Amino acid sequence: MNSRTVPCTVDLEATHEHFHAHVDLGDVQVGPGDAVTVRGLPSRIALGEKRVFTSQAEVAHAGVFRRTWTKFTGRFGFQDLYDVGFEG
Amino acid sequence: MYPTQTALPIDPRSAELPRAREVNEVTRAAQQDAALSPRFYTTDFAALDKLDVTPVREMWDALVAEFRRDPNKDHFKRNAEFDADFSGMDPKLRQQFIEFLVSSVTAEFSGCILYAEIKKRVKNPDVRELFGVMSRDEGRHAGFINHTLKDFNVAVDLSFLTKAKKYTYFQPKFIFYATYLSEKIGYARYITIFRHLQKNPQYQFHPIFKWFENWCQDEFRHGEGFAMLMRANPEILEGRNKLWIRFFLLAVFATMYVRDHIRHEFYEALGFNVEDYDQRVIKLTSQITAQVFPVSLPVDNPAFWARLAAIAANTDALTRARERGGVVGRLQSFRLLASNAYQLVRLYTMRVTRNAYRADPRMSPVW
Repeated sequence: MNSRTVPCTVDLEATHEHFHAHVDLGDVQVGPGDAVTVRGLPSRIALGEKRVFTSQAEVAHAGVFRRTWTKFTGRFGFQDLYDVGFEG
Repeated sequence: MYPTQTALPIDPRSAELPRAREVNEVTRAAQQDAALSPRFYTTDFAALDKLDVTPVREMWDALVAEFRRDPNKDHFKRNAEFDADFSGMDPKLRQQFIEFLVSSVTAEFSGCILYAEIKKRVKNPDVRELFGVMSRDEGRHAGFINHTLKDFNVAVDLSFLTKAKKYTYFQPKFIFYATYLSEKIGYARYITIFRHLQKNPQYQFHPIFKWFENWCQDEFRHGEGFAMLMRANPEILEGRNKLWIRFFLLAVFATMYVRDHIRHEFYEALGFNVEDYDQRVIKLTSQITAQVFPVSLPVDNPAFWARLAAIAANTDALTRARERGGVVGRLQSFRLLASNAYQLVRLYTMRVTRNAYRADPRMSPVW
């Protein structure tokens, strides 16, 4: 894997109004099989907390083999996809 | 989203929820953790950019105007009922309710991330706007549930943030079939619970269920967005893709059926018979999806339900066989898995209903 460190913007919110965790890597494109590790992230956010900050992310780009493999095997994990709208 | 091992729900592990840690009476008041583990996706963003909503432009603009109006903007406000003391709730029901909330917040949170990711990566202004407003709604729902979890002393553990996030891949059409169905079945589940509790208020053990009526309008609207996208790009609904549509219909229905039957006690606490609840939800979803899907599964055929019931019974027996272990347990497990695979193939090959093409596929959430 070819890895590099890039700046990123982290947007965390766990208020009553919204609960989300987004990481913006700017112009860096993430593809199938890539892995992204963001530094300095907490493992929980207290209710009412809202934080937007810049950090560093390590982006490991997959090689051709892993990319193809991920594209091929991705379809078998489709069950995760339909969990976006109904509770199990 | 729940990490799964198998493609179809023939294995009970695939139906496992991200359980909040077990509690007993003594530790009931102690804080519980519920770990979220969303998956991260990439897709063919260039293909999403090429989607063209021109064939449904008028309907699309009306839907987007509704999203912009944001009818549920002020819906998710709590009232004094949420401040009530729920410590007297039966411990078993309390645990089941927490599991229900945890799986709901997982679904909403994962939807928020998936939709936001797509919005960020596509340039097509129509697709961008749709996914942006859907992400807004899902994050809002997640916030509402997260607050309720806090009332029950459950903290959502986001350790996934600190780990490496691996990106998997789905073709756009698979995302459409799965999320469209997921949104519409989500609507059907919430509205079925809401209408039932309207008639049987004695089962309303928490105020959150009163919010379901307006809440599920968001899920319905999201489904309409996907319906428009698919209709505007009809190759997604034609030819060999019909076989994929059948596959996704069966996968979603069977997964829900098996999961709900594992957790039948929760539905009984709401005053449902789980079989009756699932049949109502699946039949309603089937009716709704005829708006764009060219085929529907034979949900009025008793054999359809008998096969699903056999899968649920096998799945239950599989759990016991695995607990038993040893050679006998393994042989039993193999037989049960083979039986489930057989039932799923039989279900998949049942004669489907062909749906008439509707020039205007729009539907209103009138149930």
